[in-house]
Amino acid sequence: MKNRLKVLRAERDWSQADLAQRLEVSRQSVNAIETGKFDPSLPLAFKLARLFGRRIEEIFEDSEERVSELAG
Amino acid sequence: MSPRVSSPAMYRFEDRILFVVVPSIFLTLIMLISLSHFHVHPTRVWAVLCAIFVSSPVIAYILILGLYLSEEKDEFQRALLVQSILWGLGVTACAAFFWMVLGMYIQVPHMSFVSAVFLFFLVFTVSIWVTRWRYR
Repeated sequence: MKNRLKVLRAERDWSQADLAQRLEVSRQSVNAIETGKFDPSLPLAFKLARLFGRRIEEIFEDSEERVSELAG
Repeated sequence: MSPRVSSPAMYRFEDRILFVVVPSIFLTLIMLISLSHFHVHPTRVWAVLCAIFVSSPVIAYILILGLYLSEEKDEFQRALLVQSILWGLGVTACAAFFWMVLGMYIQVPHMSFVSAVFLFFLVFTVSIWVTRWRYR
């Protein structure tokens, strides 16, 4: 799943380790989510949304919705 | 960069392995070697107790894995561990079936349960390191 984590993190000048510490997860987890290799659970997605002060859909892009938008 | 993960749950997991599983493996080996050396052949209840004692490291390891999965708050690390367990089980099952079918047609040495357990832990450990390295 595509996301804007890297951009949001860069805006705050946070490293992956900084974000991992704030989320109480490992840096590997942040890396995997950021690169789209791992989709976080709803509780973690909400935690991210709270941390960045955004809605979940502003951080994560629903690829299926995007496909249907392009098709429509 | 090291692929090592250092969460409180992982520290507890490593401590439990070090202080429970490793000593129990040594005790089991000492017991088996002693029984063999002194030509002792336990029967009935003693045989059952010996079998439980010898299987205790494997039981302990599985319980410790379960504890880690319940204590680890990082869902990605949990997913990696489950993935590694599946790799271990999958490769062990494939190898056991392959060896069994091979044994039906040609003369091959019998695959013992101990070697299957060893293969599982070997693949599981390698898989853990490889997956952590991939997402380092």
